[in-house]
Order: sequence, then structure tokens, then C-alpha cells
Amino acid sequence: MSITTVRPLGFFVSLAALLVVACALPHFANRGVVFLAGVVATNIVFGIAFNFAFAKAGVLSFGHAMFFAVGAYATAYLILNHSWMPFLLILLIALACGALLALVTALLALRRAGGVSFAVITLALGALVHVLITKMTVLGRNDGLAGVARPPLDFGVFSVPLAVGDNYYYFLVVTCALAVVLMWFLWSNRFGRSLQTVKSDPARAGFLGVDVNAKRLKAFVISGTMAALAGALFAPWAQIVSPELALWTQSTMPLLFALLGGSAFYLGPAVGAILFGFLDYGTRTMVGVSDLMVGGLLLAVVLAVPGGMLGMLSALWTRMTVKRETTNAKLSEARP
Amino acid sequence: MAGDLLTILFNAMTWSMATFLVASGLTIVFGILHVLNFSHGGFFMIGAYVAYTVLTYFGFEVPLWAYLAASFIAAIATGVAGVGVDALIFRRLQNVEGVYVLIATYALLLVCDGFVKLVWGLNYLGASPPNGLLDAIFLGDAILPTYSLFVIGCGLLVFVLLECILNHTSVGRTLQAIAIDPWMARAVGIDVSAVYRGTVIAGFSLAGLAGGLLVANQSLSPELAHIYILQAFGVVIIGGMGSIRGAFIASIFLGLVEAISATHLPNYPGVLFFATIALVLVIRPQGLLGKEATA
Amino acid sequence: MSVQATTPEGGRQMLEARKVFKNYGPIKVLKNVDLDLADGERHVVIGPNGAGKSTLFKVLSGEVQPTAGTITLRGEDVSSMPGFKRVRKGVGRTFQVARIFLEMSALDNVIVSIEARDANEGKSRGFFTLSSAPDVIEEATSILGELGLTKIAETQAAVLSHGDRKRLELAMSLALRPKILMLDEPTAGMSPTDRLAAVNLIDKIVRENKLSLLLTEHDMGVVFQLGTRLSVLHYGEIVVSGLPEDVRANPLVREIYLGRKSGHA
Repeated sequence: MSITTVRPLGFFVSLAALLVVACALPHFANRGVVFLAGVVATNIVFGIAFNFAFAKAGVLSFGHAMFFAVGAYATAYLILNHSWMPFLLILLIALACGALLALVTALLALRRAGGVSFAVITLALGALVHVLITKMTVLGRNDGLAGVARPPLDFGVFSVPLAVGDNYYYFLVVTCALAVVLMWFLWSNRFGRSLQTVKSDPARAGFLGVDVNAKRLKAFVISGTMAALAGALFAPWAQIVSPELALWTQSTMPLLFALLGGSAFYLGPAVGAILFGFLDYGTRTMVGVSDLMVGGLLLAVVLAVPGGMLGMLSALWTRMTVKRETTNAKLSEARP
Repeated sequence: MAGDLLTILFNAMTWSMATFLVASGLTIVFGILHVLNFSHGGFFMIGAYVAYTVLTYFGFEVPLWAYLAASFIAAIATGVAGVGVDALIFRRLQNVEGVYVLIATYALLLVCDGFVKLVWGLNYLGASPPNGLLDAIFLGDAILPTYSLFVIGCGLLVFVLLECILNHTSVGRTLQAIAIDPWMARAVGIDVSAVYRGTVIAGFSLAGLAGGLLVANQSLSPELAHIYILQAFGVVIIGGMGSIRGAFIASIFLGLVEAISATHLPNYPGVLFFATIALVLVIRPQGLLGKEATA
Repeated sequence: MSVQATTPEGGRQMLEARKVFKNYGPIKVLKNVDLDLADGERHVVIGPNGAGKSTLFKVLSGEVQPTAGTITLRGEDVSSMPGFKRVRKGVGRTFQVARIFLEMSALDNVIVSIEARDANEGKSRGFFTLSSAPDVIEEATSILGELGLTKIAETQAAVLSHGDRKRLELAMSLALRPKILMLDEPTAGMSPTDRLAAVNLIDKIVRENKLSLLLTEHDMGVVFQLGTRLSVLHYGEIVVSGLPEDVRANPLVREIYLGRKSGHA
């Protein structure tokens, strides 16, 4: 699998398939499932955004929920208090907040802290964001912000009323798909390749003239911004935002998605998010099982299946094709 | 005024020594195995809960010996659990890439959280200090609870013991050698693997012991692991990874920071803590006592 | 304590180090080092183990900052410039143990090197352009050909032999189109046959691309085959510097290498 010759077909076909399934869902599934699908869609963006920093730039963050929460809260706040703003502008501002937070985090800690210290710093910062949210009255403190409406999408000439029927669902799914495509380009083009060199051997990358610190910073900012987008799209979907969104348990989610699905694969976090959606739905009523499940799954993946689901499938595929080739070779030898 | 100051300093020291009790185990495991064990906080918490359960048999009047016994039982419980965790997980992590080791220990922390929630539930639990440590010493205006003195005493004792063992015994010197160059240690015949195993189990036992000793220090909730591990990490980052002395000094330093935060910024807990860690990272990335990083 | 046997002729200085000191805490690794690299020169630095050759390389290439002294690159002061910026000024560097991207194929390694060069020169690429440009792939293929690595172009770098890895690293450095090539023990760990091939290869590349070469070496055969100038580093100081034949005949150098106590600290 060469990173210099990119074949877009596999990706676009997979994404198209997912989109088709997602858009068909409201026609035959109940409300609960549709709601879950919307959440999974934002989780996919969240997971891929996290994985962008983790797998492509080698930066592990234990506080990514803070970006999701910042995006969600910014959107909720603006919709509730400044409803005159066009929805797209609100989303843009939410993105900017995420980008700013990521920039500050990276400038503060990325250059000076090694991988372990940086991970801990993000954990501490995430905890701080959570505490600050619970203290701010304007953000609803422990109760959060409820009643977040789904504003119309105003294009000047016409506007799409997202509050009507399943309109917001389709908007959500399509926007998530666009975000996934955007990040895919960054993952696969020359920028993504240079990130790969930074992750692979930072010293060698440096001696190819690559500004390693700048690249890592860019990757982290992209990651944080896209995570904020996931949160921003989530707020009008769930119509309520609460401080739990910034809790450290939420920060482990994208990590789990990425590892479960296979962090070396661009769509790995998507696979992980979908899988986890099923699992979580099935166990949502049991107290403590969620932590056990997430922790247990992560351990299992790290110790036994580090390549995740897609890694396993890929290895299986390689073994089968090799077997087929050797079988063919043997057959052609046997033929007189 | 002086009484207030004394109370604040005293509270700071209590926080410092409590944190040091947790951070010391973390530091030792990191120093020797070079693994930052997130689950150390989880086992600390489980130790506290186990001690709590033992203490409930004594009702309201807990004799001092019972309190200490409960701590030791907690240490044994976590030690035994540590044997299993070591065999199943830590041993397998030796060939795993650094980032994934971090993730694995974090996952283990989550498992501890889930375990505690499942067994003891989500509610806050409280244990009271044992008889003999229920009153306070009054120095002028200052109120110094004897239990807090106990905590400070424990922290100081652990520090002195560790310093003695590491720097003045052959066992300690062996450990330092293994920490610096395990390959060489193996070459001179030291069973490094056995030392690693022993260190992991000792680390978990210490976590459980700390949990038991500190069970009356705060209320118990499944959040305890995360709270203490963050504090411990702050200490390790500021003190320099793997340095007991650094951890001790950093604990005191951060304890003062926390005390200032509690009195002057009570509505923004954690802000000063985070700001301090960030500042130290900016000014001196290797921590107060850490060595300058090589290229 | 620096003995200048001869001065380089003609051309401007590609690289100049003046009064360079490097301390690691209390340990003084480099003391008052002066070094020149003229245009087209092949300057070899030799010295016993522990003399400070690796540190000298690190300081010159920008991997670490000197404690004191100046480093000039074609007249420009780069003493506080980080390594990646010096690379953009025309410095290519290899490491004692070849640093390559292990999970990529040999060809991909060279391709990303060319792409890094393009990025450094500000050549923009479309955001939506995914695969590497055909001319980049072509250039990479030809560079691999120049270094005799065409056969292993598609092989993953991780499985390459030691000698092939060093050649690949050389290819990657070449892809940057440097003016100065800094090679850290380029023939270390090679068999005599490989070594001979490596020396011929380096010689050809330096000649064809009109590069200036700075290298450290242990093998005296390589030193005399390649070098136009020789400097001896001893306990962090340049004790002799000049034409290889002159340096070889220098009694001081004999003392250093034959180990007779000479009163040096």
C-alpha cells in the first residue's frame, strides 16, 4: 500500500455506502435508532479528528472531549442567545473556538512536552475545561443548556427549515460526510505524507527540512477544530448540552473508536464508532458496565488486536490472497 | 492572622503528603520500568474502598489498630490483584510501543472505575478517622486536626524510608542500576525480570496502602482515582520523572499552590494547578529536578 | 592548540565554525573548535572514539546548539538556527545508523524527500491532488538508479540490509539537492566490498553534483581515497588540519593514534 499513489475508489465507495444506509434509516427504523445514528455520525467525525493527530502525527491526547464540548457549548449558547445569527456563521464561530483552544494547547505544551507529558497536560486541561463549564452560570453550570433549537439554514434566496421532520438529520449526515471527505484529503495528500514522515522518524524528517513542531501543531489544530465541528453539529441534534460532554470519559471515546476500528486506517474510527454504537446501545442501562466495557475493549485491542477490526480484516485478506496465489501456482505447476 | 496562615500551611502540607503517598509509588514504577501507570490511581481508589468495607465492621468507633490493619488488608488486596494484572497485562506490555502502553494503563484505570461503580455504586461514601485521631491540636487560632498530622507523618515516613532504601542499601543501589541500564544489569547477573515483577506488585501494594491510610482524608467516590492521578501526575511532571526527591519537593510546592487556590480562587478549582504545571513546562520542561533532555 | 598545516585554495567557505564550544553540564565535549569547508572540498574529520566527532556533527548540522562559538553557512550566521532551517539552506545529512522511514518502500522514501524539498522551496501542490506528481516519481526513480537501488525500489525499507539502508539514506539526502553533504561514518559496519562500492559511489555523486563534503570516518583507506583535507579531533579540540599526506606524516597524529602519552589533557 503505497502512500504516494492514492486510490480514492475504495474510500469513496465505502463512504457512499455509509451515506446510503444512513439516509435510508429514517424510512424504516424507529426514532431511537435514528437518534443513535445521528450521534454515531458525530462520533465518526470526532473519532477521525482524534485519529488525525494520533495516527498521522503521533500525538496522543487524553482531553479531546474539551474540543467537542467547546464546539457544542458555543453552538448551543449562540443559538439560544443570538438566534439572529445565520446557522452557518454559528458553526463557523464554534469551529474557531475549537481551533483557538487547540492552538493554545499546542503552543503551550506540544513543543516542550514529550508524548507522555503532553497526554497528561491534555488530561489536566480537559478536566479544567470541565470544571470551568460547571462554574459558569451563562453556560448553565451543572444543568447545561437545554432547548437548543435547530435553526433554519439560510441561503439568502431560499432557506431550509432544519427543525422540520428529519431535515436536521440529513443535514447532519451530509455535513459529517463532507467533514470526513475534507479530512481524508488532508490525510492522503502531500501534507498528510509529510505528517507521516514526522511520525515515522522526527529526526529524519527534520533533516529533510521539515519543521516538525509546526507540522505537529497544524495537525493538532486540525484535529481540535474538526472535533469541535462534531460537537457543534451534535448540539442542535441532542438539543441539550451538559458538562458531561467535557468529562474525561468522553475523551476516551474517540481513542476507543480509533483503536477498535484500527487506527492505521483512515475509516478505522468510523468502524469503531459504529461498532461501539451497537455495544453502547445494548448496555446503556447497566451502571459501571460502560467503564468496564470501554476499558476492557481498549485493553483487549492493545494486547491482542493492535490493528483493530480493519487491521484484522486486512491481515486475513492478505493471508487469503497469498494462499490463493500459492494454490494457483501449485495448480499451474501440476498441469502438464 | 498568623493562625490562618498556619492553618493554610498545615492544610497545604496535608494535601502535599497525601499526594506524595500516591505519587511515590507512581514514581518508583516509572523510574524502574519507565511506564507511567495510570492505573496506579485506580488501585489507590480500590484500596481505599476495600479499607472502607473492612472498617464498616467496626461501626462508629474504629480503634487505631483496626484502621492500620484495614490499610494493610487493602495493601494485600491490591498486591494480590497486582500479581494478576502483572501477569496478564504488564508482562505483555514489554514489547509494546510506548503510546500503546500509556493507553493500556489508562484502560486499566477505566476498568478500576467500572469495578468500583459496580461493586460500591455511585454514591459518596465517608469513613471517619479512627479513635485517637479524632481531635485536633490548637495552636493559637490555628486548628490542626490530628488525623491530618497522621497523614503528614505517613508521607514523611514514606519519604525517609524510600530515600534510605534507594540510596543507602544494596537493594536500592541495585534498583537504581536497573533503572539506568537494565541491559548491563542483566549482564552482571541480576534477574531484572524478577525485579520488574516485584516492582509492579510492590507499586500496586503501595497504592492500596496509600488508599487505606487516606480513606478518612476525603469522601469516597468513583472519581477518586482520576482526582488523585491528576495530582500525582502534576507532581511527577513538575518534580521530574523518576525522582523521589523531586516528587517530594514538587508535592510540597503544589500543596502550597492548592492552598492558595482554595483560599483565593475557591470558585475556580484546578485553574491555578493547571496554570502552575503549564508554567513549569514552559520555563523548565524537564521539571524541577529532572535532567536536561538529550536531543 | 590548533595547527593549520595548509589553507584551502580558492572558492568561498561553504561552512565555517569558529571557536565552537559544547558542554553537556560539566563535561566539555568540544573546545575552541575551528573548522572550514571550502567549495568543492572533501573534508574528513577523524579522531579516536569519544573525541567528540558526533557532537561536532550535531552542532554543525543544527541538531544541538553550541554552548559558544559561531557557525556560518555560505557567509550567513546560522549559530542559533535550528537544524531543519539549515537543511533548507542546502545542508544534507546522514546518520551513523541510517535514519529512514521504515514502513515505506525505498521509492516512497525518496519521493517524500523530494516532496519535502518542494515544500521547502515553496512549491505549492493542490489540496485535492493526492498522489505524488509523475515528475516527482520519475526523479525519485532516477535517483535510486544513480545509487544502484533500482532493484529494491518497491521493497519496504525495514527489510533492507544495512548497506542498502545507508545508500537509501544517501539517496534521500541527494533528493534535497544540497550544496553540502555531511556524512556521519558513511561506511561504518560495512564489509570491505561494500565499503569500496560506497566510496566510489560517494565520490561519483560528489563530483557529478558538485557538492562540498564533510564526513567523519574511522577507516583510513576511505579517508585517503575520498579526502582532500583532513582534520584530527582529539578530546574535543582540532589538533591538526591540512592535506591528508601532511597530516599522516605529522608526529602529533602518530602520538594520538599510537597512544603514547603526550601530555594532552
